[in-house]
Amino acid sequence: MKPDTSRRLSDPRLVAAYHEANQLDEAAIEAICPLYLELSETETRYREESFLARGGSKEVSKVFDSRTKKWLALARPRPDLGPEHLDRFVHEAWLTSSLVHPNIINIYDAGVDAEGRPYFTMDLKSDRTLASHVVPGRAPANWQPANDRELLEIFVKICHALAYAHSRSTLHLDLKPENIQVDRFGEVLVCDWGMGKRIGEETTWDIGPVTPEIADRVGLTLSGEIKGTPGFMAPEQADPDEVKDERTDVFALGCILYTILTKVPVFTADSAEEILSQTCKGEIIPPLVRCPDRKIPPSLDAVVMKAVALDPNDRYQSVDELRQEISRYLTGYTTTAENPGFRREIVSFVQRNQLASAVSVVALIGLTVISVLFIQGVQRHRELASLERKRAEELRTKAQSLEETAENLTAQIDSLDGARVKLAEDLASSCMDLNHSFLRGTAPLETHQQVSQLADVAMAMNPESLTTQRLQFRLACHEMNFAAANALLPVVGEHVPPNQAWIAQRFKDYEFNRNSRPDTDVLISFMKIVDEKTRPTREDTEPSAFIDTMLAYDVLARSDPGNYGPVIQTFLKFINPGWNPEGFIYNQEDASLTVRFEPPFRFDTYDQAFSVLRHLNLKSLRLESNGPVDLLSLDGLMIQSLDLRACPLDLTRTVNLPELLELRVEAGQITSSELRAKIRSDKPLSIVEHTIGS
Amino acid sequence: MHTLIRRACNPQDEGAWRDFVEQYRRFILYILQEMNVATDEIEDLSQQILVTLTRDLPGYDRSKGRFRSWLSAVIRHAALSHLSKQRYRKKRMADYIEDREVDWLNGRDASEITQMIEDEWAGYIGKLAMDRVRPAFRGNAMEAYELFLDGHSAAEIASITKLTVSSVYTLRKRVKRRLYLEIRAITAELEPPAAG
Repeated sequence: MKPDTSRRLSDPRLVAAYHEANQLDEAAIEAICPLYLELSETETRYREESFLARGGSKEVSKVFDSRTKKWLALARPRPDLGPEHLDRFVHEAWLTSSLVHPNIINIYDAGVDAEGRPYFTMDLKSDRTLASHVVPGRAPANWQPANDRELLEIFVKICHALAYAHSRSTLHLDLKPENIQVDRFGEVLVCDWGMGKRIGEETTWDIGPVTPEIADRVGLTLSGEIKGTPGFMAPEQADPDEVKDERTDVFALGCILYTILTKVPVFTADSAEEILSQTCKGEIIPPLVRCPDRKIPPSLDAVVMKAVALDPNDRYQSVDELRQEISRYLTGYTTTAENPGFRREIVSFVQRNQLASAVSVVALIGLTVISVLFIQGVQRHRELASLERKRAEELRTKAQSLEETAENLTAQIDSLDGARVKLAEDLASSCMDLNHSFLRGTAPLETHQQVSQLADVAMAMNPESLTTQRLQFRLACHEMNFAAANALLPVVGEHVPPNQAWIAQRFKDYEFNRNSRPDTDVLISFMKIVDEKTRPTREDTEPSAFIDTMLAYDVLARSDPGNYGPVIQTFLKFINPGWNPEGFIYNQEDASLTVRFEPPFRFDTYDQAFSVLRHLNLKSLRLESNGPVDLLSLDGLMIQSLDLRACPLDLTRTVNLPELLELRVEAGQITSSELRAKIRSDKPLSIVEHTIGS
Repeated sequence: MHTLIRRACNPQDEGAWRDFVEQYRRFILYILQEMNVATDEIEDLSQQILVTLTRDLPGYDRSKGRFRSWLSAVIRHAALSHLSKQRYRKKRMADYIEDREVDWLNGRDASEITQMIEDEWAGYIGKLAMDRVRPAFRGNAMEAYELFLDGHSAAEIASITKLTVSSVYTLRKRVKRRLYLEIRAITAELEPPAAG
């Protein structure tokens, strides 16, 4: 009968297993569990020690922890320091070890070695510190220091670490770029808490300066009566009797932020003593003044100066307050349209393809821009010509429909790709409309800027979109950046009017932009060449509106208007090829113009949008004609005075001249009530009748 | 290594000593049962053996022989002297009664008894180890291993457990590895370590 093993205390089937297991040799055991064996036989925990660095009070080596199988940094007190320094060393180990935070260095082990020297081990992450990023010449060869935005993000992490430490009543008191480890994966560790202490705690190791040689050297941490690093330490640290609290660390953080923004030290004196004296007098040059070329945002300049205030009461009262300022600034990055980084930010945001949010953000931006422009349009609608009022109406409808589109898209976000393409398309075509009305109307420069930002966004969402690329072609042409326009021709060439394609190709050497404008001579010769080339086909592809948009942009972008009269003279000749341009008498000083012509004659481009005379900012205009003139082509002109004595009128249509104060006519030419009915001004209009010869 | 036996020899560590004694007590009780010692005498006898063990164990010299041999010798001596005293007493009281236990013991030579105790000790440690291993495996790993211990071939085990033959081999290897480690660990806990 088989023994009932379940009730027996001994299992005879396992006798062999007992013998076998206990007779296994080393090799067999190793085959079963090599790692366990290795760990259980590890006697020397730290091996392969190699020296890394020596600081003011300790030296650090790289060691291999054979128990946890990783490389660590092992710190020991400097061998040349006497036993009176040992307590401070142990204090650092225990203080650091009490702080558990992702941005504070980890302590793994502390103890006393065979020779009786204390040690502790900690993270060995990187040989790069914040100093490698912000101190010129400190960066290792062949590497890319973090950009300003990344540095600010690092700074925010430092603030998080310090806010945590302060919440545990622990001060660092020796913050400086050298004590912040920054690795290339974005990990930030606040290290070297050797000067640190609990708030209110009296340290008992007020020992003399380490060595006179060390104490004299700038950049090394002082110890003894005065503790800290000159250049980063707060004024109150220079006085052993002053109270140190959270605001002492805030000062050092302010100095770090200063260095991040300027890449230069806060103080530049040669000796530690002088730096200390500057610190105590609060002699700090604001970053903006110190480095005017660095384009330091004024808001951050103000943050730095508040953090490094001489009196702790004038500083941020907590690290969190300081951090919030920076976070706010960093968030603002993506919403502040003036910022030059805006376009890059939003494009990279959209490229990250977080479409759900991208759709809403982009739709929001698009809507904001359109609404702002629309409101601007409404505010000035009385100034707009009647045709433009109609356009404004259309635009409002368009804005509403884009809003609906955005809502629909946000609702049906599942079909992500389709949504992206559709939104890009809507955005681009809305921009086309915007650009049509506003580029030539109320706000050419702003509209151009906003529209090109939106075009970049649309481009990022769908780089394939022909509409977007046509928009970019048009925007480049407006700036007369035909180099850029020409580069787009391979794609858009067949989808833009042939004359425009020809212009882009013919003038591909022109690379003008907002800051660099052509001379008026260049404009004139440009128009003459285009005139000559396009005249035979003028009927089909009228380029005058195209040129008008360039002029609208140009006249506002150029810092010096120069003598713009000849430009407009040439343009009128362009529009009216049979006209003798000698009938253009312009007086720039009193902003008056007389135009002599024979009907038919146009003051506007063929799309009847705007009078080209608006580019001159005229106050008074005199027309001399030998036949009846339809004033509609002056619609919307902001003149104050109009002289029609030498101009027979064809008043079948109503014309808006919103600023008109004075209208001169020949007595008996036309009744004043008829004039008032057909010529509309928002101002009290006086009609002056002249008798012939008077 | 901080084995139970080393801790047990430390007069300060009373808990370790109790745990250690308990493991031996259970084994001794069991062995005495196996030797058919009368139930009412087992308790007494086991106490005597434990006293001997705890007196001699700290001074046990591994170099003089295997621990389990020494252990079985201690138990055998104690049991035999107890039984012979008892036989003498019983003879006086009722000498017609043939004592089964004494007969059982007398019928075998010392080496046979030693071998029996030694095997029981090995099986005892094996069973302790098996009890520790069991919760570490799920599914039919333990079932397969037990079948293997019962002498079934891998193919038979596969058909009983509905596992593939290669799974049976894999599971057997895993359980065996774990079991052997536990056996070594328990041996280290209960047997004095090698000298040096």
